[in-house]
Amino acid sequence: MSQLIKYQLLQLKNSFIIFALILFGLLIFGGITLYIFADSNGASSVNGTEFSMVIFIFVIFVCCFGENFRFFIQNGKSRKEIFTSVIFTEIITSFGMTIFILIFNFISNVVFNRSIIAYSSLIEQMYGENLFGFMKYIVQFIFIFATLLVSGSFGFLIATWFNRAGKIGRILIAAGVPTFLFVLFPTLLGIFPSLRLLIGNFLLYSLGLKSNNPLIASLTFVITFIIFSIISFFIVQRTEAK
Amino acid sequence: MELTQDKPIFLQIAETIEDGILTEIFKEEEQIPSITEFSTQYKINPATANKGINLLVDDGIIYKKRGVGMFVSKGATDLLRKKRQNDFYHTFIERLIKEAKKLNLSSTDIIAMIERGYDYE
Amino acid sequence: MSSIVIENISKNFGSVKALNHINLELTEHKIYGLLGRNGAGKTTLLNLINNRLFPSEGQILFDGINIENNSSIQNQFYFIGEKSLYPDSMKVKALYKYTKMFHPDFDETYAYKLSEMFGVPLKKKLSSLSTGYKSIVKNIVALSVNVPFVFFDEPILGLDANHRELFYKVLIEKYIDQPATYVLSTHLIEEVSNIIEEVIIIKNGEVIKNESKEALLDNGYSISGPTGLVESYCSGKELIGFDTLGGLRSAYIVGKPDENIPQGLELSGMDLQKLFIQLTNI
Repeated sequence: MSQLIKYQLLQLKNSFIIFALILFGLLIFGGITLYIFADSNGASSVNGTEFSMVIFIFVIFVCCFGENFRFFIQNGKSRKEIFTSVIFTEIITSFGMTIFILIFNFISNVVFNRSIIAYSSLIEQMYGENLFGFMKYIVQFIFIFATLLVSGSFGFLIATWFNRAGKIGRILIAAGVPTFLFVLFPTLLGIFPSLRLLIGNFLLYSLGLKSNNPLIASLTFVITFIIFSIISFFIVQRTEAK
Repeated sequence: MELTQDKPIFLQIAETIEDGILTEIFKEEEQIPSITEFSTQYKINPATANKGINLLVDDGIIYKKRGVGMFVSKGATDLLRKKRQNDFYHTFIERLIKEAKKLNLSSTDIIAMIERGYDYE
Repeated sequence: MSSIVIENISKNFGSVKALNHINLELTEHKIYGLLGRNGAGKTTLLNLINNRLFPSEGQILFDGINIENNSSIQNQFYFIGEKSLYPDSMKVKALYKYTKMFHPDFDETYAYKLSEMFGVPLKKKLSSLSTGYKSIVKNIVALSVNVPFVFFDEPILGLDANHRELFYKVLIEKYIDQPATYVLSTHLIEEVSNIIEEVIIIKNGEVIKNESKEALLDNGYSISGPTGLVESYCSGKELIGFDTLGGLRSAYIVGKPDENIPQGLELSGMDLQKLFIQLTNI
């Protein structure tokens, strides 16, 4: 088990280092720009690091699973072991990336010295700045961790589905999922206002936006993570290694 | 020595060793190649090589010394000669006569050929 | 004695029946030849034993326990085949390293020694190796992994004559040094016939022969001569097949030859390749 986790983390390591370097590169670039153009009166804001990390973790788990799955089967691992190791890897990776984000946000705040360019984190964007002190960090941590976890598990879900599918199935998924999410679904929302209302309300409540509580969102994400993982488990159990 | 496919391999192995003993390539009380060497040289299963060698062990031609290897027994050469002499008729003469009859050669023809052969050698 | 028992296994791919009620047992410390023509079902069977595919019917047991998704059992098997489950971009050196991580008994020193003997470019990615070297690397891993059951599917695919010879030598040496069960699956019979002890022949998804090579070849012979004579000799005998060339015929017969062979007929033993061809012709 630990071998499987160790292997997966090793595979991620290089991608993560490159990604982190890019982020720091941008940060330094931003800092230098700020230093040069120090008299700006504009109210510009810098954000998006968490969001890019959410995408990043999704991509990692979508990409690597197929290859890892086949290699693990080659080495005599059971599908249950493989599944469990991915879950643990997701948790460890989310944890590590959360710490990274918190540190990065802290450094960014220092660099950008909020008075000139506002650096806002995702949580501040969604819920406003109504948390103070130590609690702020704990809530931030939980929120970011849950966001990454659900994103990673979504990547894993797509990967298991894709891995199981045949050639035709894979084309359908690769073309179908984005089409559904970005074309079909919004169109449906446009056509059926009642549906829009329903989805809207659902999102408001589950993401804690109504009550301005990021912990509700965290809970929703964790529940979604569990659901995605369970579905992934069943898919993996019936996947043949070809 | 090339292995052929029409006779069991283990017999061919045994015969090769016997030939080696008769021509003094393997001398009495000296070591013969190991099972591993035979198997890898001829690319055969070691069980097959072992079977061939065991035939010779049973006949008293070879003996095994545990942890050391396999050796040609004392007096093996004589033993083999006698055995081969006994087999000679079946192994060679029968086939010779069969072929000779195909070619309409009489026993007198054969005897003359044999004498010629011995003179030549 | 540990053995793999294949019980009533069938595998369908859609409407195609790849394997049809296979029953086999693979025991310890033997070299098996799993022989069959292209598409006969050999690879499918190996995939089933090694937890890649799921059976449509039946089960495979190891010491009475189902092998499916059981890693303590699967850890004792190693399978290399034409389709590689190794990551394409992995370098040879890394492959050895990671295999060791998953199989503690993997002998890296031995793997490097073999790599040198075969001239393997260790720093190259697996995907950039030639067909021959892909096979060689897989074979090296399989020979170094030191598990009780090793399955080779077409191990000499793409190997030149020198490497083939070297492979057989190395295989036999390893087998003597550390006895295990090797299953060699191939349609190239001639070269492996002296190495294998047990013969399993698969035809159209079914096992048509499953016995020791010795028993199989002992129980058959060939008779050649003028067609008419051969035909009359064959009457009442179990004929496996025959070849005809002009007025000459060679017939392949099951059983022991008659005491007296009629004049004009030649008796000879049967070799595995000829037997295989005769048995698996449509």
